[in-house]
Amino acid sequence: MSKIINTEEQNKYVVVKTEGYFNKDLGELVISVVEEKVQENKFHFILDLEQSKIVNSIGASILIEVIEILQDKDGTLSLCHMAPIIEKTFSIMGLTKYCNTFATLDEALAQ
Amino acid sequence: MVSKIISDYNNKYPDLDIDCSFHKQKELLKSIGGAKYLLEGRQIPYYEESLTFLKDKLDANKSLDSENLYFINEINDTINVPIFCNDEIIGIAFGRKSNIKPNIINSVGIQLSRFITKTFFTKKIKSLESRANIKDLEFESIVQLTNMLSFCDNLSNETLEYILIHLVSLYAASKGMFILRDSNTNIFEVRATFEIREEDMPRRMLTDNKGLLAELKNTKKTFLVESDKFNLVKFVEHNSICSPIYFRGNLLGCIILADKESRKGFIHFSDLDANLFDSLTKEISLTINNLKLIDDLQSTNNLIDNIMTSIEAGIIKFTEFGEIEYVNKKAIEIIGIERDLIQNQHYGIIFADNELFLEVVSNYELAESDNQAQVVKNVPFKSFNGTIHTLDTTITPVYDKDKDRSGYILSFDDISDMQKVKTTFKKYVSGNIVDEILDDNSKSNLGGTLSDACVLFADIRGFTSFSEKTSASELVSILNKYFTEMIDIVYEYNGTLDKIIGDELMVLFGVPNNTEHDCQNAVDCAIAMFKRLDEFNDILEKSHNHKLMIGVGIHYGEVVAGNIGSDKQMNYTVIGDNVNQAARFCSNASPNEIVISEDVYKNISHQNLFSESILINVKGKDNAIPVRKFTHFSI
Repeated sequence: MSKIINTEEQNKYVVVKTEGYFNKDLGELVISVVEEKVQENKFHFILDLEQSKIVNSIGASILIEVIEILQDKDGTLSLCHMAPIIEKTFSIMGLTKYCNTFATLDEALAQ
Repeated sequence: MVSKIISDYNNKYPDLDIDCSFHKQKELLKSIGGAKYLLEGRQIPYYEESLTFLKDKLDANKSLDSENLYFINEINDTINVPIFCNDEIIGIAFGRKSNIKPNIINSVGIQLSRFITKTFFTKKIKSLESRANIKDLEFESIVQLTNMLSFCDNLSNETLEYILIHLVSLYAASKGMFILRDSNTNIFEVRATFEIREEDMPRRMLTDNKGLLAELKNTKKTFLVESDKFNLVKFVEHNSICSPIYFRGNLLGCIILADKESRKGFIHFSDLDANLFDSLTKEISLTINNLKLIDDLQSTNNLIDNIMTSIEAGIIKFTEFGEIEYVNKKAIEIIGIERDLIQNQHYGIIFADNELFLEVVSNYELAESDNQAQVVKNVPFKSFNGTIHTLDTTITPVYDKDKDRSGYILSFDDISDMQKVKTTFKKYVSGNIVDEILDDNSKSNLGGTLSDACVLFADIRGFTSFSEKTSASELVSILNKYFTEMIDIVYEYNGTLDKIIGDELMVLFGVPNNTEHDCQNAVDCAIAMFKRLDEFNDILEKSHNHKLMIGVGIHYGEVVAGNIGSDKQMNYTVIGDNVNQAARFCSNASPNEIVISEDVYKNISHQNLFSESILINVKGKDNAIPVRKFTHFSI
């Protein structure tokens, strides 16, 4: 089943690691974490998708909402460890224009 | 923003007491800070009356000319103007009536209308863009799936899972299941699942006799299924979409996608989803059928390859254009080169160094009208590793389903080993007999037949005295050289060497194969033996100061020819009185003399070489026998 396997703060970033199908359920888990952290004035997030190999349009739409929330706060969303199919999906949905993408978590943290 | 516009005007014109209220586009207004102006929950006097008046005026004018579109409420002394969004009145802006600033309320209405309409279209465009992106994603997923299917080369569970995951993602489904029929058992098996719990997996054996699979078999259509309709889809929580995979009317399996997601929760799969899914599963059906056909073809090819490998003959299939389409293992062994280097090459390239072999193939290729099998024996072939082979070849045409010639098959037996055996065998037994036995196995049975044959005996004269003067090893050496020369001549004249008895040769003409020239051949052979002996003697005289001289007897008549001996050892020979008579003639012949019977004489052409008939007495015959003699004069 889809879930968030870890949320931790590293440097100025909140790193959220997911597992499984990035669909509505997982998207909503992510957006609720983001909303919670925004309340704590954390505006820079890294989504580690190493364990999520497939996404649907609803999951991608929710990430667009996440980006909108963060943009209102001058925050950022970075994505790393994206499977090619996920990268393509996010690109088509116009999502990658508004967030940074990295091959690894280390690269994302070093940005 | 709505409140900012209102407050800006009120700051500028505080005596006008400007306000507004909205009865439509509530969500839109909430998103732009207009929630507090919504009509619900507010007490706006004469709102409905003003709205009715404005709508009537709008309908009468059919114009959005805002200059004239206002309502003065004399009771509370206010000016009311409509607020539009996309040509529809969604609210009213109002303020205190003032003679000094009569158009200010109008300006408020116009500004609010412009702002709200702009926001409305901006959001609509954004929404359309998002929907377009989703459609783009669907299209891209379909392209990707179609591409993947076109490159799909197996039906492994991993492949099916890959297809299923793509479909789940494409339809924003939550779960999926891929079922395929086992071609051996005809029982349907779950081959791939997505997000289905173990406890929701089907427990019963799946057949298409009842339930969902029976429905799919009968309808052959994609349809929407509610969760509780079939036991097979008990994992479905809301609804699902099921599509059959079939080929030539037979259900091969199905794909089930369940619980379509939307941003607001689960929604039903639409008819559009069903239509698209139906098209995609047809594409998947086609791919699965193609893969099954490829599997069948591969199995057939493997079977043919196994059969071809087990065949001891080399097999090459040429296309109509002379390209090598198939070679079996034996052919590769004989040709002595890797399969990859042969296949698809023209035979002219591969067999360029094998003139006769090339001729066999090219002659057949060029003989378009000749559709019969053609056999060519003893074709020499030099392999790529330098080994020399002798091949018996058979070339036959191949026809396609329209009975047009589509190529030809060359099969060849490597008879090199047989040739070695034959050559060796011929050192012990006359070549004619070897060929006879190898051509007809029954010829190696014991027994004989009556045949007419010409029997020749040639005996060295004075050999005993010569042998007394010569060492045994030298004697064997000289005899071997003598016999080599004589036997070569025997074979030249198609004679069959029966046996060597000491220093005597016994040669047959007419058995096992008779000709019209058996007597002539025997006599010519004897004369040739004398001539060759002269040459031999030239050398022998120099080395041993000695000459060998022979006497020859030839007789023609009926003999018993066949295999005489036992099953373990036998000799092909002839027996009978006529054989003995030939031996007696040989005994009677002086050195350099041929003695022939009248029966031989009658069957030769150059009779003038022989003497008049004379009578001689031979052992075992009471009466003298007429013979004729030939005397050879050494040079």
